[in-house]
Amino acid sequence: MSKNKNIFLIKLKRRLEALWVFIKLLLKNKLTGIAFITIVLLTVTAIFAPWISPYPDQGQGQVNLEEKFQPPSTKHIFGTDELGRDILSRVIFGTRISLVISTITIVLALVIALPLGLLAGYHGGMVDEIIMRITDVFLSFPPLMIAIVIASFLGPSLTNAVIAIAVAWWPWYTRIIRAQVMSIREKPFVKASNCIGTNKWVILLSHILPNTISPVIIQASMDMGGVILTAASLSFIGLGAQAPTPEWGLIISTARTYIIDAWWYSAFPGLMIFITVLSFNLLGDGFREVFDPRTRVR
Amino acid sequence: MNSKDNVLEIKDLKVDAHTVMGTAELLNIKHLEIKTGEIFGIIGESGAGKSLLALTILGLLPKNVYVKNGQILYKGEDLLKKSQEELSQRIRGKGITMIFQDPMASLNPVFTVYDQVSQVISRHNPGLSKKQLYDRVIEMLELVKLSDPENTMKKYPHELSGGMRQRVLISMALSAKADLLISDEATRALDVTIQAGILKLLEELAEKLGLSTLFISSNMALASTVCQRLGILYAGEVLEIGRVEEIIRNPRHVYTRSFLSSLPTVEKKGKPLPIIKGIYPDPLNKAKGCIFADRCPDYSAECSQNKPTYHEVIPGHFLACIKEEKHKPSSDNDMD
Amino acid sequence: MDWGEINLKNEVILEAVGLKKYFPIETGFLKKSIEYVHAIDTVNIKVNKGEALGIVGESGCGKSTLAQVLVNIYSPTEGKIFFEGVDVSPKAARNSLGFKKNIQMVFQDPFWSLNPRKMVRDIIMEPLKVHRIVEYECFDTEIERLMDMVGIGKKRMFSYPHEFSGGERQRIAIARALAARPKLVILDEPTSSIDTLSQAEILNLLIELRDEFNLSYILISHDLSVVHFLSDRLAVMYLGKIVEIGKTETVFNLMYHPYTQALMKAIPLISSNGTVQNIEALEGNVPSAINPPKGCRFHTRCYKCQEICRNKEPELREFEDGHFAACHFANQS
Repeated sequence: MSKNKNIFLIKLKRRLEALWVFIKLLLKNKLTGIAFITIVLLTVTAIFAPWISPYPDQGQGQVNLEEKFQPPSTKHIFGTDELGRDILSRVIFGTRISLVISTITIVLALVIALPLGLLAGYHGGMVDEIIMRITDVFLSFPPLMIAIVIASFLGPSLTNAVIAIAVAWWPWYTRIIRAQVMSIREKPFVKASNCIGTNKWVILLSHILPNTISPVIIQASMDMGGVILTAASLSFIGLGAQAPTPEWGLIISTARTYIIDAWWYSAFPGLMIFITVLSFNLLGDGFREVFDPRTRVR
Repeated sequence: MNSKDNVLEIKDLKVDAHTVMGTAELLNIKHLEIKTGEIFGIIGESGAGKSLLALTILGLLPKNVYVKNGQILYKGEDLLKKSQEELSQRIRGKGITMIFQDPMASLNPVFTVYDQVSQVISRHNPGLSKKQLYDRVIEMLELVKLSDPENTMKKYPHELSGGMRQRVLISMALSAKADLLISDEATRALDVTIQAGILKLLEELAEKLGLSTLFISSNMALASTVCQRLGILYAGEVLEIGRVEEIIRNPRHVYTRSFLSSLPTVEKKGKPLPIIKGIYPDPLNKAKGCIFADRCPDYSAECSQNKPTYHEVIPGHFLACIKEEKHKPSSDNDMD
Repeated sequence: MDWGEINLKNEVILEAVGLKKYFPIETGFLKKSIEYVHAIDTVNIKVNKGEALGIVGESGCGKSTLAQVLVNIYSPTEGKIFFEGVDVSPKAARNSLGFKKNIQMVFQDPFWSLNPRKMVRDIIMEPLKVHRIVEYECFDTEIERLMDMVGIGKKRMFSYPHEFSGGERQRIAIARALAARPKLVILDEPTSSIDTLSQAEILNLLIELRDEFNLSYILISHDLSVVHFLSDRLAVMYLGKIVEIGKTETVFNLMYHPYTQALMKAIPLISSNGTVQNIEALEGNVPSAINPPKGCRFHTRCYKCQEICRNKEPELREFEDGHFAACHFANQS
């Protein structure tokens, strides 16, 4: 059995090498590099929010009325809000929420989309027809609208917002996966597996599935931004996170009232949304460039 | 050598590329000329730099690729000294036109053949009346032997077959009064019977109108049916240039000989084909001496010391090999 | 080294009778199929044991479809296929692992013929696993043996396809095909996307392997010199039909069918003494396979065309021993 372990280790080493080459290629583009670092920083911020933020209690909602509406200063870099909470801390905790909900939403959407897309693309025929017509129904409305309808039906809460957005999002992935499966299905290596006599489910899972991943990763990283925006929008209109959750959209929604007197209140959360969404989009672009097998160097 | 007869002349051209791994030497061409009205073939395997040569001539190099030194003289003018603007206004698609393997990529899918050809004609002959323009389009389409031009010109590119599309592109080149056509594997995707027609057309245009063609191909047999002279390109360097008959009957460079002997011709059936061992040179670290030295069966130490000089062995036949003297012209029989 | 005359036993390994493959064109809301692409239309062929049958023709003539029907990637619309005398036309027979093991295929495209996300070891292992060719413990020795056989260093077992050149990838594809220990290998344009020097190596390899394992080949190509080099018999296809079939030499020398003549004349060939054949073009385009011409399918482009050609479809007739052509005026010039 030590031989098997050995092979496993060699394979793992080769995979890691490939990953390293991939990351090097990805970072070759400066913009992608900056986006990548930004996202890493955001992730670190999200994970260590309680330790990084200057006022972790306020970040999570503790009120400090003595210091309300302080403009940015050395004490409160991003200023404070109407309840005297440090906006920097709020925004740092907000990062956590935004990243978590967007990740969960996309994973959830993929959990629905992956089997349906694989089945539709590989099986074709009636199954394909039915799945595609259902996605058509969803795709004929703007995702935000679907999310609003579902969220207001389920009742306003962060969990329901995640469910609502995932439901609005899965048809897009189903379509992408299906299209990719249909193109991979016709590739000679799949035909060769057919000739060999490999079981069709094995072909689907070991040959087709790994080759459908790259467009999904591109789309998912592009969508991270979109999902964050949608979640913020839901919170903004009151269908998502509820006070005192430090959700970016919710903060901006509250700040809207004070926009003339306290510009910093809405500006900094807005800036964070902007930076995050932009970074994910740039990263998606970078993925697209690197995943194209023709641009790969030997 | 009278340079007036040359539509294109390349001197000491070196093209390099910046890559993550370092500088890659992509092209190193000592001298190459295309005479007026001639079909000149460039033969090479993939990675030889055939397409890159075409792009260099047209000034369409990718971002990280640059010309290190040299001259590309088009009718006496150095193209490398021209600005991109000048190239696109006077040279590309006008004097020098290129056709590719995929003609669809060069045709606009939303315009008919008539629209596209007439546009080129009116740009070069402003002030033609509608009727004159119409007649000229028909004339141009007849020139490239498109059957039934009146009907064909009403069609959109996707309604044409591959061969017809290439013909339309050639007619556009002619309408623009191009005198040098670069064909980059333009017949590769076509069926053989259709391909033969395009080759015939190129021959005829060269004869009738004096259109010169740079015929880029990896297929020696194909190029030798249509070209007058051939250049053998290996890893960015021209190893041998000469008249077709000389090249295929008396190949003087070992690479040319190996290339020819590895073709599965009719007589070679039943015997293993001779094989040249080794791999294609890496443009990132090219050999100092002869570029073919590490695969050459006649290798000796002097080969890897200095670059072989590019010299004329018989009138019009150039070669880059130190040991050429040792191969008597009759040595072509060793491939049977 | 001289391979000499190939020893031909007249044992039929594969036979197709009246094979047809029509692809429906789905139109309209309910996807009703009104029209069909007649990709292959009533094809009869035989492949003998240890023999290489070449199939030539232009794009759209149905040669690739024929290959894919024979290896069961497509099921035939009509007709029967016999493998070693056993009728394998029923779906169950064709899908059985026992049958699939016998016929393997090598594809043209060296880029996509190997899964880009798998290492060479896993690629070659697939047939071993499916058909239990050797015991699990011996997989690695077997993979090493196969890689050695096609001339790929076993050190590169854990490399990905993109780390190989086109010629090397084609060798890996050959190793994968041979791993199942098939009796018949179908080669679909095996060298048309690779360089001349690699092509020579692959051709040598294919001949060596055939002699070693007494393999039968069906070679599909538009490159006549490759087909001539590899195959013992040659079939010429036009618009879904075989128009001429016989010993390779006979087809090359006699050319009974006008289409064969046109094809041979259009292909640039260099002979060893350095003469270049003058090429001639064939006028006109290949007609649509949706509505193939009535009568002889070649009549629209044929210089011999007469009234009978437009109305009556010529049958394959035997002219020499084992040499057939489908033309009303085959032996008149």
